[in-house]
Amino acid sequence: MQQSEQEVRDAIVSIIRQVAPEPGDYDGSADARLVDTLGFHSLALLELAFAIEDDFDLPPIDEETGRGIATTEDVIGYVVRQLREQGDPASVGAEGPETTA
Amino acid sequence: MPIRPSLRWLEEPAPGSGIRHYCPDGRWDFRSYPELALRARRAAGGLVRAGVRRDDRVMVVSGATTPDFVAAFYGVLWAGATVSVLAPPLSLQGPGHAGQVLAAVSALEPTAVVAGRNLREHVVQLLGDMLTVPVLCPGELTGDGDAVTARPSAELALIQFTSGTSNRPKGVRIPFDALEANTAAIRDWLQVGPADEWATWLPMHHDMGLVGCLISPVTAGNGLWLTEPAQFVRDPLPYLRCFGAASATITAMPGFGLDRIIRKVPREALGGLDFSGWRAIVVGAERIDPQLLRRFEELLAPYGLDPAALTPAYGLAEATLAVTGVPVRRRWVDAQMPGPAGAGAEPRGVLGCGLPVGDFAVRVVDDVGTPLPEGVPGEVEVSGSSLADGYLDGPVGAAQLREDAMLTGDAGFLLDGELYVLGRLGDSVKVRGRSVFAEDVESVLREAGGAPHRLAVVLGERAGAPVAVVVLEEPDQRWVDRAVSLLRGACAGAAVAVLAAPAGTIPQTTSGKSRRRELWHAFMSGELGAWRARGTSATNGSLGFKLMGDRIHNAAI
Repeated sequence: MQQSEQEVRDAIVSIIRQVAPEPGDYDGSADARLVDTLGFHSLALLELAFAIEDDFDLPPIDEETGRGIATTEDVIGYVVRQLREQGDPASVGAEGPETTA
Repeated sequence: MPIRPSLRWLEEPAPGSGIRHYCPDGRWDFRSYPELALRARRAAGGLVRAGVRRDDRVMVVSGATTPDFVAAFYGVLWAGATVSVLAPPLSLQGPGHAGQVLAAVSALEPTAVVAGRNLREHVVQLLGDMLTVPVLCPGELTGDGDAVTARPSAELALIQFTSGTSNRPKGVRIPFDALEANTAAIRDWLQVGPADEWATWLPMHHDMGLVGCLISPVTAGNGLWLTEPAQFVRDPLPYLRCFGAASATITAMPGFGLDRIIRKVPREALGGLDFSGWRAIVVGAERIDPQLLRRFEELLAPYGLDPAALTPAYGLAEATLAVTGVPVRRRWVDAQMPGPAGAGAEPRGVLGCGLPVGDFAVRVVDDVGTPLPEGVPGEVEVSGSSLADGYLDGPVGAAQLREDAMLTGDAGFLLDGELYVLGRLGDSVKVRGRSVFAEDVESVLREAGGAPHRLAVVLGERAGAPVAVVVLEEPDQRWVDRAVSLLRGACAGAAVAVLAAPAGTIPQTTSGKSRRRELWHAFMSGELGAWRARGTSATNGSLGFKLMGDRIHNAAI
C-alpha cells in the first residue's frame, strides 16, 4: 500500500506517543530525543523497535543502525529509507518534505 | 579455605537441576548446574591467565543471558575478583550507551572487560584510547580448565550501577556479606524450597534481574527458565507458559512486565494453561498502580492464578536488592490517599510494599531523623546487614549511606508495620527520564535575581506525576511570573506550582536538603492539597503560605 511520507511521519509519531513511558504533552516535534525527552527506558525502546518493525513490515533494526537513532526524526528517516530500499519506490510517495536524516 | 555460600554451588552443583535458556526457534536449551559450574571454573582460569588478580574489578557487558554469560559472571567471582554487569547497547538508544560505558569504565577501572562476540568490536571501538585492558569473549575464557580452585573471594562481590539515564554513574559497592544476607532474606521471605523453579526475562544489568532472578535461584540450586528481554517484549507467551504449562513457581518484574502481558498475550493462547502453581510474582522497581495488579488478576484468575501470588516489594541497589515484601500467601493491600485537589479528583490507591525482609529495619523519619508515627509520611530509612558499603566515589545524589542506616531519599509511610512508598523526596525528580535536581533549579532562580534565603524549590511526585514547587517569600507579581517561566523551562514536563509565603517562613537550616524535606513533608501530608481545594487565597495553618492558585499549571498535582 502506498503511504505518503506524511502518513509515515504521522504513524511514527502516533506509535511513539503510545509507547513513550513519559509522553507528557509531546507534540510530535521531530527533534524530541527518545531517551532524554520522552523517558524511553531500555524495555520501552525494544517495544518501540518492534512496533515499528511490525507496523511497517521491516526487518529487525541492526545494532549499528540503531545506535545512530536518537530522535523522532531519526526514526522517521530510518523508516522512510527502509521503505524505499525495499524495492518498491511507490511505497513512500514523494509528497511531503524530503527527509534527509 | 572456606568457600562463600554464594559460590558453593560451583564446587557442589545440584545434579539434575540447571538453567533453561529460550532459543529463537522455540526450544529450551538446558544446561545442568554441574556443566555450568565447570564452565564457570574454566572461565575463572581464563581470567587469571589474562591477568585478573584478587580484588580486581571485571566489567561484563551483558548481551544475552546465555550459558556463556552465567559462566563469565561466576568465573569472575571464582577468580577472586569483583564483577560489574553493564547493559548492552540497544536499538534506538542513540549515543547514550557510549557515555554510560565510558563513565562506568572510568569509575570502575576494570582489569578486564568481558563482552559477547557481537559486542566486543563495539566495546573496543567505544573505549578507543581508554582501552588499556583486554576485552575478552566469554568463549575465550577457557584457561586451566578444572584445575582452577577458588581463590579467596574479593571483599566486594558486585558493583551495581544504578539504573538511571544520567551519565553520572553511581557504582554501588556490594560486599559478599551483603549479597548473601540479601539472597538469604529473599529465600526466607518467599519460602523457597528445593522444588521451586524460577523464570525471568529481566536484563542482568539490573539488580532485580541479577540478584533477584539469577543469583538467588542459582545459589539455592533451583531450576531457572531464562528468556531474553527482547523476546519477552516481542512475545511474552513463552515466558508465561513457564508457569502455566511448565513447572516455574517464582518470578519478579517491574509493572511494565505485567502491563506487557495484559496487552500482548492473545486471550485464546491462555486456554488450557493452569497458573495455580504460580506462588510468587514479585512486583517492584518502580511505583505500581494497584489498578495494574487488579487487571493482571482479572486476566489470569480464570486460569487458576492465586490472587495472593502478586507480591509487591520495595528495594534499591544500595540495599543489594530487597528491603520489604508482602508475605507470601497474603494478598496485597493498598491504602487510599486523598486525591489530587480539583474537580472530579478521586482518592488514589497507594500500594503496600510489605514488611521488612531478613534483618532489615525500616523507619519513616522526619528531617532531623526522629521516627514518625504510623500513617505520617516522611523519609524512608533502612538499616540491615545487606546494605551496600558505599558508592565508588562516596555519596552521590539524594540517597545517603551511613554506617548503620541509609536515608533512601524516598518518601513513604508505615501502616501496621507495612511500608507504603510515595515517591522521591523533595531533592530530585525524574522528568521525562531525566533527573532534575532541586539544587540546580534553585541556582537558575538565584541567577535570575532571586534572593537565596527567600526561595526554595522542592521536587517530587504526586499521583505518579512529576511536580516542581517553588516557595517564594513575599514576592511581587513580576517575580512570580518570572519564576513560573523559569520553573517551566527548567522542569519542562512537570506540573509546576509557585507558592507565596510571608517573610521568614521558609525553614532556614544550614542544609538545603533538610529545608526541602520539611517543605516536602508539608506538601506530601496533604496540607497543600487542602489549600488548593479551598481556593486561591486560603492560607495554610501550619506554615502560613498563601497559594497563588492561578499559578497552578497542571491540575494533576
